[in-house]
Amino acid sequence: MPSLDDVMKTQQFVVETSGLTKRFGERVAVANVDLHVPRGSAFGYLGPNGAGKTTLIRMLLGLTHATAGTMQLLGRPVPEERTAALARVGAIVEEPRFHRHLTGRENLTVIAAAREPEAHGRIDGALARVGLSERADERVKRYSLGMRQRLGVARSLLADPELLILDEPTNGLDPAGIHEFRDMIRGFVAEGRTVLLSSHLLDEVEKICDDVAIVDQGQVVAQGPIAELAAAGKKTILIATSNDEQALAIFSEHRAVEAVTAESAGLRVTLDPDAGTAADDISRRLVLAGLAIRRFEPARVSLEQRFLEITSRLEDAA
Amino acid sequence: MSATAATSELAARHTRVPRRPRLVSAELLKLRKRRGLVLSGLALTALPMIVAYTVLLIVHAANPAKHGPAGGLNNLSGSMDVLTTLSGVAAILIGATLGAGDLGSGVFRELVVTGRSRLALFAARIPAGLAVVWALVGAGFAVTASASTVFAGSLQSPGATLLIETAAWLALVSGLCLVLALGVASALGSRGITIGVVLGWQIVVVPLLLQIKTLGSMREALLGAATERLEPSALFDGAPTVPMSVLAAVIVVTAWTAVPLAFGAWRTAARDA
Repeated sequence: MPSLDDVMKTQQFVVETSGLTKRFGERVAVANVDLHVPRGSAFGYLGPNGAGKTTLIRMLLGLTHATAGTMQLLGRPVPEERTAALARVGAIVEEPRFHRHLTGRENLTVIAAAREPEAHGRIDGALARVGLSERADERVKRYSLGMRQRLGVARSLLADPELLILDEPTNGLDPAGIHEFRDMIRGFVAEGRTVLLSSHLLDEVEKICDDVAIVDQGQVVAQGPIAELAAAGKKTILIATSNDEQALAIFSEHRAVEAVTAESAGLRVTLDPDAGTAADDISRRLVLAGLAIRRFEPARVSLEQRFLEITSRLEDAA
Repeated sequence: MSATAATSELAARHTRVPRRPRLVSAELLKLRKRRGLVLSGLALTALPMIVAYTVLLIVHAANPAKHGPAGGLNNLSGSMDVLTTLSGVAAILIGATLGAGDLGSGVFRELVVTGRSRLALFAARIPAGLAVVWALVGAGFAVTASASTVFAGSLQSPGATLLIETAAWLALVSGLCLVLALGVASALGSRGITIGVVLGWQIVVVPLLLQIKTLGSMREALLGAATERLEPSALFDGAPTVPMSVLAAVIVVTAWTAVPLAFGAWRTAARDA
C-alpha cells in the first residue's frame, strides 16, 4: 500500500483551488479563482499590481482567511491540514522580513526552530546555496536588499520544500541579481521542486516559467502552458512575396484577415483566431495570382502580446 | 553490538526530548541578542541596588554615629520597594518586546508560514520571557540580599526564610508584569503603545485607585492590591492598603495572569499575519 507521501508525489497538482474568494468589505480582491499548479513546474501567477496576487498567496499560506472556496496544498486541504501541508512549503511573501538585530544565521535558526528538527541541519547548506556563507554571521541590518532576498530563499529551503511560493521575488534586484535569481529558480525546478512565482513582469514570467495563470481584477482569465496560451490568440503570419502590393490587395479581400502591417522584411498578417484553414487558403491564392512566396511563417507571439490581447478584450467587454 | 540494539539506540537518540524546547530557545535568542534591552534591564535591577548599597556604605563609613549600617532588615525592606517597582518596569519592557517583536519586524508572518501552530508560537514566549526577567531580577535581588546580610552590622539581618519568601514574591510580581505586558503587546501588536499603557496603568493608575477608599472592596480586583496582600509581612509597615484574604489575592493574581494571556493568545491565533 503506498504511503501518504507517495500518494502526494504522484498527484498531478501541488496547488488546487476552487472558487477561492476573498472580500475586504465591498471590495473583491480574489474572485472565484480555480487554480491548478502542475507538479515539478515553474508556474507564473501573472497580473498587474493590485490584481489580487499577494492576497491569493496569503490565503494559501494561512496568513489570511478565505471568504469562500476551497484550497489544497500538496494534496492536503487547507486550512484544515495546514500544518502538514506547509511542512514542505517554502515561501517568500512580498519583501522577506527578518530580525535586524540578529545575524543571517541566527534568523534562520529562529525559523528552523519552528520547523521539523531536521531543519536546523539544513541551515549551512541553505546559506551556501544562496552564496551567503561568508556573511552569515553579520547582522541582517547590514545586508543589502539583494542579500535579504537571498536570505529569504535560504529560509524557504529550510523546509526542503516540494513547493516554493515566491511573491514578486525580483522586486528591487539589479539586473545581475535578477539573472542570478532566474537561474536559481530554474535550478529548483530541475531538482523536481515546484515554484509558484507571482509577478507583474511579463518578461520575467516568460523567461522563467513553464505554465502561467493570468489574473486581472482578482479573476484568473487564462491559464495553461505558456506556449499554448500564447498560441491560442490571434494567428499572425509573416509573409514576403515577389510583389507585396499585389499581395496586400489579395489580403484586403480575404474575410479572415483582420490586419496587415508592412515591415522591412515583408508583411505581418493577423488572422481571425477562428478562421481555421485561412492560412492555407491565403497561400493558395498567392500562388494562383502568380506571386513567388519568399517567406511564409507563423510569427512568434509573446506572452506580452497575448496578455495585452486578453486584458484589452476584458476592458472592451467592461 | 547487534544491529537491533544499534537501531534502537539510534531511534532513542532521535526521539530524545531536547533539554530546552527549540521555540523557547529561539525566543531566548531573540531577547538576549537585544543588547539595549538587556542592558536596560540590568540598569533597572542590579545597578540601582549596587548604587544604593554603595551610597549606604559610604555614608555609614563617613559618619557611623549618624548613619547606621548599610544592611539589615529595614534597608532590605526599603531597597525591595525600589527593586519591585523597577523590576516591574524591566518586565514590562521585556514583555512588550516579546509580544510585539515578531509583529513589528514582520517575522511573525514568516513564522506562520512554517505551518507551526500560532498558539505554540505564542506559548513559547512565556518561559523565555520569564527566564530573562528572572535572571535580571535575580541579579538585583542577589545584590540586595547579599548586602542586607553582609553589611547588617549591629542591625537585625534578614533570615533565610524571609529571603526566600522575598525572592518568591519578587519573582511573582515581576512575572505578573511580564505576563500582562506580553498579553497586551500580543493583542495590540505595538511595543511602544503597550509600554505606555501598561506602565501608566501599573505605576500611575493602580496606586491612585488603591488610595481611593470610596471604591471599597472593588479595589480587591486590582493586581496591586493582591500582590501587596501576598508580600512578606516583614517587608512592610502597617496593614495592607486593601484588606483581603489570601485566597482572594490568589484568585485575583490568577485572573490577572489568565486573562491577558488568553487575550494575547486569541489575537495571535486570529490576526492576519
